[in-house]
Amino acid sequence: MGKITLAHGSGGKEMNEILEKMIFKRLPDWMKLVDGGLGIDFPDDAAAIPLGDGRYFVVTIDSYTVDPIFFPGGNIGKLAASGTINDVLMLGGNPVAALDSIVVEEGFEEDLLKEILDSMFEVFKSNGVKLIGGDFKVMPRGQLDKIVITTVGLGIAEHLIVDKNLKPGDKVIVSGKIAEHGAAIYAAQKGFMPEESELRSDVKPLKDLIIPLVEKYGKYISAASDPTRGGLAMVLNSWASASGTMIVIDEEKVPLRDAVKNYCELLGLDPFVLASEGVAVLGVKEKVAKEVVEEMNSLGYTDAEIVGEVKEKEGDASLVIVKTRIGGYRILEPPLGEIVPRIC
Amino acid sequence: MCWGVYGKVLEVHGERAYVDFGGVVEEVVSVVDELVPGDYVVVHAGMIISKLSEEEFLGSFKYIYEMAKKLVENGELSKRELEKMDEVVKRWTTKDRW
Amino acid sequence: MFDLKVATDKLFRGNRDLASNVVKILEVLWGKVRKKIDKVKIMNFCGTHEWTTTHHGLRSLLPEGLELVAGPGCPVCITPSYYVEVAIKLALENVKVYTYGDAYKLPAVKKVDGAKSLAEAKSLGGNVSVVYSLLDAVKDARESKRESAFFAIGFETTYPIYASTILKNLPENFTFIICGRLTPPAAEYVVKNVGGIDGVIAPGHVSTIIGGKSWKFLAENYNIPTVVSGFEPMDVLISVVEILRQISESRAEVVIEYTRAVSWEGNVLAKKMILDVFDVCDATWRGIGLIPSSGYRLKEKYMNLDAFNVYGFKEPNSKEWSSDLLPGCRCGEVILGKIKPIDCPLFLKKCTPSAPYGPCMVSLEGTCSIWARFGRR
Repeated sequence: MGKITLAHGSGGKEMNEILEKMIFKRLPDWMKLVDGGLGIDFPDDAAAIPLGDGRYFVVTIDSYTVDPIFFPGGNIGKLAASGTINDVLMLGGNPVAALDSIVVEEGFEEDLLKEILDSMFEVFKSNGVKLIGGDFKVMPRGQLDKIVITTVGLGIAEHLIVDKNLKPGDKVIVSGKIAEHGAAIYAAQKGFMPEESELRSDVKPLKDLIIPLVEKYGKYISAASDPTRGGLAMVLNSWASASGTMIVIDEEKVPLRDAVKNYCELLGLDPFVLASEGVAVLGVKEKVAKEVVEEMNSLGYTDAEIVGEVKEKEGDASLVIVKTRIGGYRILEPPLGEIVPRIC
Repeated sequence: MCWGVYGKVLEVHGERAYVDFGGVVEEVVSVVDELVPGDYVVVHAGMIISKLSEEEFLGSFKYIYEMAKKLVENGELSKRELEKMDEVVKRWTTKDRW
Repeated sequence: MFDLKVATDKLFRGNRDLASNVVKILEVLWGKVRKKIDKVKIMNFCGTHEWTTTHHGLRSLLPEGLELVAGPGCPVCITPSYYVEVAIKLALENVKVYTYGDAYKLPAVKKVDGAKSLAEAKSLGGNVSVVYSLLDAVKDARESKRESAFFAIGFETTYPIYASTILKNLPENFTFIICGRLTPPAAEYVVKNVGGIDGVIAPGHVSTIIGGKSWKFLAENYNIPTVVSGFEPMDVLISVVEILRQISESRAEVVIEYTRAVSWEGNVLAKKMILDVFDVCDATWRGIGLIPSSGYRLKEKYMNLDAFNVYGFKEPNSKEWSSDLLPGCRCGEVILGKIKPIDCPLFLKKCTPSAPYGPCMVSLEGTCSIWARFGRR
């Protein structure tokens, strides 16, 4: 067997491969889900267990490590709280409560920990999410890089939004400008920080967006995801393969801020593979697509756009096709490996 | 080979310069003569390799427009295509229209 | 206000109306060319042109029979394995190796102390740092004071920055693994040995340095229409139009399409800097072999900056280069434009972007990697 590399954790093809090899393949089917619910049989944003009254208990878990732990636009605490809320939402759940598990490196400043927790509490508080349990551990200096926060999100769904239900004819909607978080973190983390920049993470909980949409258009929403690690490219490719469809998006329509676009261009990075932490991607029925965008606009998400549509797949492969700005077509692959800048 | 990105020079300090890439400013090295603030440049791997000429900016576009005219004269391209191009030309060749 | 960057984006990258106009014109010329020959093969010598072609989906806009193929234009793909092996060795011996992202995953043909690439060396604890520019590396080395080696891949476009930095003051702990290559000799090698090339899209950014005149030999000696092209999709389309025009008129000349950045003479200052620091030497290209006068070597007086010299590695002789590709790998033919990636039995089977077997699958600019990521047309 080989060794684990950073590529295995970057949310792309390699991660799917290692999960398949290490986990999915080695578990019998009955262990992968609770009857009538959703589990790792079709890995989605969260898992679900039927409550017996038609509703579902939605649960998600995620470990957050980010370097640097304070970045333009937020910190690891805000990220952990927002991320777990968003994962519950993307399955159609209304987030109710959360648990956290914090592991800190010996010597970590109390002040910083307090600030991180303040940010985390603030997000939970403003979204009405209770923090009902947790764990706290300290690791000897050098055995952990500063801090890792794991959050569990719990919620209730009237009905589930499961990405494999995406159907030909559905429209794809992006709620806001993409790649903001990825570009900001990349700049801060890899030391490719421009002298001056407007790069800023978009990390935020999306409850104010998703709950009203689910209440009004729930049955018309066939898929929902937040394009975190692996970005839009990863989300759309997972959708296409989970639903056995082909997705065609129009590059011109994808919301992207100039500063992010220009930063990506400078380093030769592809914004389609960079993370967002405050954007939702939805697959909705065609007849309500425009209405949904208007509703999003009225909720303050003024950059929302219909970026493409779902089609019957041609041949065997579930592809994502991009209509380029100049009018050509290319295939959008899921991201591969560690993201590095290029000069060639 | 050779990823190159366009930017506008903000400041020049000897062989170094600050370049604005549009919401992103980077310090780069220069290997071109007579660089002044306001110049548009091509940056490759952290180095200015060439200035961009504003005069020449529409050069290849004019080339294709002339060709279209000739093809229409010879009856090889429909007049409609040229009319469509005319619009684009009008819109894009006037600097104050940006 | 006129902003050249914004204007370029809008006019040369994002204007579908204009693109369809140009495609119409291209089709008219294609009709004329078809009366003379059935198929036209246009080769680019720059991975970024290949990237433009695939990323913007240009092949989907071109008529059947008009082929755009990639020549040896990726400095990563043609960097011989031996240099990668040296870099890995240094990194594992705790010399800090700086690399551009492009060469980070480039595999050697054999493992060196368990690592096949700099990325693998890093996961084994090797000292590897990915940088965007030489400046970042120099700055880091100056602060860290550790022994350092810069993996100096590149063509004529990248070499001025090495030269200009060397001409100034470098920290004492800084060395270079020099593997620079010159593009015109490789282009000449390809047209001479492969043939069947009806037009050439010459590399725009290389030409900002070496000048449009460096490509004269293609038109004069080999009768191949040649256009020095920019990197926006519209630049490439217009360059194809010009090549078709020349073919239809049975002429061959060198035309600069990328006039906004490229002159006939090139960047005289940069050229002089390169020659102040480097000598031109015979050099090996991975998958191709030895090409006369196609590489850079530090001048004698700068040998203290040469990692091979400082750490006691020998430049292999030309015979020792022969095992530069793994068995079954057809990257050599891909690089020469003899076959397409899909013609290689390993393509997307044994050789994928996440587990590259051959060098063309590594760099984002490598032909196989581009085809794997952006599709087959």
